[in-house]
Amino acid sequence: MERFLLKNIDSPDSAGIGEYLRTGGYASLKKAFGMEPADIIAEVKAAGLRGRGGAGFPTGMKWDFASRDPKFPKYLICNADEGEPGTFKDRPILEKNPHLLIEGMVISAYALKSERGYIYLRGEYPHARAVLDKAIAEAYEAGFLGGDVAGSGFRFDLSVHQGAGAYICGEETALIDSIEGRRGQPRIKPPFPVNVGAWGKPTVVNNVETLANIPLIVSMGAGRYSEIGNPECPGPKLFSVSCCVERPGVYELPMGIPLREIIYEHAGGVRGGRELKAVIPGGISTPVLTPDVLDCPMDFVNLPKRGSMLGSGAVMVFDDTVCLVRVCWRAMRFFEHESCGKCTPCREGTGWMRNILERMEGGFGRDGDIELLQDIARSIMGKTFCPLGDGAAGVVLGFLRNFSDEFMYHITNKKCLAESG
Amino acid sequence: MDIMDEIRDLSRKYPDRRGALLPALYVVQKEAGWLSQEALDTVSRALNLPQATVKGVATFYAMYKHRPMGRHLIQLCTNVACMIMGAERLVDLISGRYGLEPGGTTDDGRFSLVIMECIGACDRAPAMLVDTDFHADLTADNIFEILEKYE
Amino acid sequence: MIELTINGRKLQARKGMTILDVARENNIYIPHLCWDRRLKPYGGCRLCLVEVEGQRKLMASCSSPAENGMVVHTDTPALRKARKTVLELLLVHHPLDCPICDKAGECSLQDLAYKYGPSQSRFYGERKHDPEATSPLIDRNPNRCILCGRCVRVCWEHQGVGAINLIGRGFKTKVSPAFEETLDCEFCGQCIDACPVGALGAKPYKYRARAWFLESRDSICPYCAVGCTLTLDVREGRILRVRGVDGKGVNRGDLCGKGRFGFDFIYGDSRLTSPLIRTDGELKEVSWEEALHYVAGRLKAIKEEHGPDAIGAIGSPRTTLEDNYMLARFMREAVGTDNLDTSARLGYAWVLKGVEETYGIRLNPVRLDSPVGKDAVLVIESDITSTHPIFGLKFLEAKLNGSRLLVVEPRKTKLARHASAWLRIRPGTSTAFLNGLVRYALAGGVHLKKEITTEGLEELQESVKDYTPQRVSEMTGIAEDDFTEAAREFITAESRLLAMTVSAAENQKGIETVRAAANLLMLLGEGPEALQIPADYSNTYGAWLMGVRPLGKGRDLYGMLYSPGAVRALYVMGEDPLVTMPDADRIEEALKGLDLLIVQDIRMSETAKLADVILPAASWAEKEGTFMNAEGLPQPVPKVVAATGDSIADWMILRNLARLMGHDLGSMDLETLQDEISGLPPETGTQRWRFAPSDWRLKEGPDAEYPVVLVTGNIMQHSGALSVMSKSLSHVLSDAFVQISPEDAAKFGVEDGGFIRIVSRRDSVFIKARVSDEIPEGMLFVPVHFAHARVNALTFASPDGTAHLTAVRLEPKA
Repeated sequence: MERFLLKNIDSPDSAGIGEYLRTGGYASLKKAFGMEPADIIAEVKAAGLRGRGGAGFPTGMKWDFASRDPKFPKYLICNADEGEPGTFKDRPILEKNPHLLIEGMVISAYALKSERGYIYLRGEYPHARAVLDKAIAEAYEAGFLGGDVAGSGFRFDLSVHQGAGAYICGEETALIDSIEGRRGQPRIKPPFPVNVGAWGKPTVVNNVETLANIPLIVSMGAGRYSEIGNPECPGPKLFSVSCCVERPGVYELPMGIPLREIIYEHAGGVRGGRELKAVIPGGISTPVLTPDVLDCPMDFVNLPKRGSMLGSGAVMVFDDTVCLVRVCWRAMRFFEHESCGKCTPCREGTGWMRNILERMEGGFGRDGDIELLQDIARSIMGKTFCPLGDGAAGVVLGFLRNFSDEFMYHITNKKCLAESG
Repeated sequence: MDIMDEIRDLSRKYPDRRGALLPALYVVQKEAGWLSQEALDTVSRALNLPQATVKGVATFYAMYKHRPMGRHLIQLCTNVACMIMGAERLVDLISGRYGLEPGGTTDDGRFSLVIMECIGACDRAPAMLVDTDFHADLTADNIFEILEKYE
Repeated sequence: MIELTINGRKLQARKGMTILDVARENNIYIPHLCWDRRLKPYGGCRLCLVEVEGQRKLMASCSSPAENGMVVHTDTPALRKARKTVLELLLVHHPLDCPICDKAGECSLQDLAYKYGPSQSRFYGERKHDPEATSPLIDRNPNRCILCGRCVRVCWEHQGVGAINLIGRGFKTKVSPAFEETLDCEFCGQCIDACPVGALGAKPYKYRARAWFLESRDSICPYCAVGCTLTLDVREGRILRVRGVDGKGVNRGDLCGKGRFGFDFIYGDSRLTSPLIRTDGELKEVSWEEALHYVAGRLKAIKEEHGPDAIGAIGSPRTTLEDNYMLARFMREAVGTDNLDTSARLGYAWVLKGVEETYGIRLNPVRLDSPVGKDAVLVIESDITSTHPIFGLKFLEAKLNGSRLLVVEPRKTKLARHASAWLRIRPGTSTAFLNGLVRYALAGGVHLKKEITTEGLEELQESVKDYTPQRVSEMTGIAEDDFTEAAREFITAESRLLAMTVSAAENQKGIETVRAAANLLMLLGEGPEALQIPADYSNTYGAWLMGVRPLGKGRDLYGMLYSPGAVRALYVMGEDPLVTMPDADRIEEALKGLDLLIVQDIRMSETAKLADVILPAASWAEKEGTFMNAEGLPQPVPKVVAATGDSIADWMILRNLARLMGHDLGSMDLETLQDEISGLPPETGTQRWRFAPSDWRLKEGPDAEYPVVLVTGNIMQHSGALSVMSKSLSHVLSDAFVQISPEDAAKFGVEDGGFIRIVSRRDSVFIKARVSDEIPEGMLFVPVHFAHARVNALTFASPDGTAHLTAVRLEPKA
């Protein structure tokens, strides 16, 4: 497939504005200024673009809500807090194609009548920070940011706001709290950020990849764009593939491509030709799947039918040498570490699940531990403040649904089913 | 530029100066590698926020440090992908060579080691940051080659 | 109107209500731990989950808006299970030290665990082992904390303090001051009432009683004029603690540190237990009979020899309506004089005079919730969150709800810190500032847009013509741009409020400030309700209404206390002029020159030490009566504990004394007294607006010899001279000090904590210095509460009611 989002990233100067302009960059921006803001929103709606951060919410609809709110100013925030373990898809855009993101943000801001944007970049990406700062400076210099963008009279200011190590800030309301200088704890919804967001004003939070799709939609038009991938949720999608494959990396592929194709054609198959045991399709907080779902199309509509989610499109492949109890324990250690502490079930529950998994993994599992784990997970599921708790519970339930034998084996035999685990 | 001015300058990027709290914490952390009481007090005064507010925010985020760090900060990822690709063995190796446990600092003050939650480099796992330098595809063979460059 | 169904009951709700709000309003029980009416919904504890038909997930009722047609269930097996799990998880590490926890018996976690059971958790966890943290009045036991965050949110969101916060993240989160240091806050103790478990407690109450042995009585706070309802918890005749109960009283459950901890003044060491008569220079205990015969005899003799007008009385803003009413009758009828006044003369009287001169009305009670919902709220040189803490909270609430809070204030007060715009004004110059606003409004043509029928417009225009923004800037020290920006904001606001205090304890505002404020508001078409100046103390307003002031040609306070020799006998009830009033030397001279000084008080005050006769009065909580708050609301104050020693209620002493003077006042008991009071003609007046030009000048501005100005006032933890009797409040602060700016400290060689001599034109004092950036250069601030410092020897009284800011110089102690 032709690459749109990662076009040209193999060029050594891909991050520079010169190279970007040379390959047709900022042309969509100029085209957009010839359109009415409402028409751009209509185009994004028609294109069927769904948010690439994980939830898959229709981007055009989000924009519509925000633009209908009479309050000003409005804020546009790029969510570059790519913290979901297994996910590194936005990194190539941030580090190698930053002007695509900036162009996408300026067009989006123009459509939303927003004059102020922030890129909320995770603290763990210092290199991306340097690249973005430079790119933003270049864009100001070239007149694509600032008081009079490309001579259109439209004003848009943009800066990077760097996170500092908090997974929860990937949740949009926690992210807003973090930009406002608070502990990044999720807010109560409603009201939604599109009406009451940063500093109480209408705020659109979009993922890096989502915003990078905007210039594409403007240049191609919704019609041609929606021909890419699955018609129900069209467009190119970045998949980050990791763990036990021959060629881990980020692949730009059409939405809806079967999981099998991603693993075996693009990522080179399971490493060393070993047997595939399990796949997490969308980052650590999406439930694990067994190899019998390999033909499932990777998109927002088909994966839920198979008991998981597309999430961030982070495919984690586990072969038969991997101990899934250990994976589950490590994932839970992550959730415990990242639980913000606001709500009881998540704050206390993640710790307890980790505790039980730890004793199982260490060979001290007890009879009834599986049932206890399930009970806690079900008590958390659907009862926490934000999706982090659901994610944690879903991971445990997913592993126990598909791989309870391996957990049982651990309890009974006090060792791994997978030898090298 | 004086730190207070630098923080006030940062606050101009936000409609409310409190927005500059996270960036300001980075600014003061850069000075000594960690957030001392005085450093937090500086931020508190520059942004007109109670000290408890500043401390509460600073302790929410894992990358702000609340005790002195070594000259070089090793932030090694051991999350699932890095774990599968051998990160835990690297922790043991580092511990063996420098006597450095996760969360600790070497006696000579050269290194501090912090376990990081997913560094976003799962395709090149295991990976780490040393200060702000990114290193990936770590192995038992290359880890010390890299670390030994940091005095 | 929204209609929804909860547990099968069809209910109505208003827009903006949550499901929990609707349930509470209809007495439907939903458990919760992190919810607090005063705070934004938090949604953390997850106990208030409910089932809503058609919703996949359980919903947190505290934060889910009630919607039309909703069908809600609050008690189902799924909910019981969910709640039980939450409690089980909390009990993993919550210590089961209920037998030694003061909260036992009134602990929400205990009650909920009892309701939802089981007593044992399936999870075995490490208990937390953090040390208990203690501070002067508030104990923290972090191990019991369930991280509901109410204390933290009340402290920051509601009180605007931010002394504590959630420190850390996730399971390891802990509530603490920034560096786990000893709390050094306002000590309002709101966190204690907010805590659903025993993680925060009132130190003076620790290990004093099990909750179920306490008997609770509601009363009214004896300190400021807000008139908060206090819930007194009593065991075996002794008040052990005070709580605020959500929704109760004008304060709706909020309390400040004085109200919460200051009740123990009634157990102060200086309480009087017996009448005393000075014989041969020594005060000797005597019986009531002897004391009253002595007083009656002396008063009769003086009256006979010098006429009734040789006798005067000072009433009290702290005793009840009944006490003050009886004093007024005693003086007018039994003695036969109009020489009668209270400390309101030094402050609040000028407010009422100013209001009468401008709006034409006699009284202007405040409304405690008046700031909320106003577009612009202007606070003039007043530390309202210290003097009237619960009224002060309303200014923070207004700001939180979107009001622009404009604070004109030299000190970095709490309101200044929270202001939308803080204009750091030179002390004592706010009249110039207000006149500047008047001129600015006139220059902008405000008076042309509306028809102004108020009399005196031309004189007003003439009087402010020199107050150009540039001149105002020179006078006040506020940058011209800041001034015009604030002026524009206030003048163009859709709705507005101007608030300040004018109190006996302060010296930087006076009647001219009131006039200027009223002029401005009238010019903008605002009635007297836009001018919010609260009375000082628990019954300042009431004492005024009871006629404890000259109604005819009698001598006022200036004529009695600052005119040595003017009267021969003085009856001082519940007041300590030597401490609470300016120019102590002058007062002392007047008191010492009297033939007879009678002091009727609850304790041995500084003034009492000079008395010929001392009559011990029962204090607040030891007698029944009524306080009238700054809203003009009379509120009953019950007798809760037995009177100290032989003390009796002030009104009874006066009634008995009148009889001995041969004049039966007729009011035999409290009931007939209260009937008489409620039958008093209302003090009214019709509005008749008239501009009252107001000029700004300082009587005693800084000059070469006295280059610094001294501002006096009340501080957060104290109130006049009463609170220093409280051991609890004295734990926080018991020593006098003067606040000085770092600039002046450097200039005059003053060290933080070092002693300095302050010299005014009248006297000098030694006092400890506190260097603080809350104070601007060229100003000192000194609290008035501490008798031993005698700071009021430096100041002077101002019989024309204008500001009496005092110029001083500093001499570091060699």
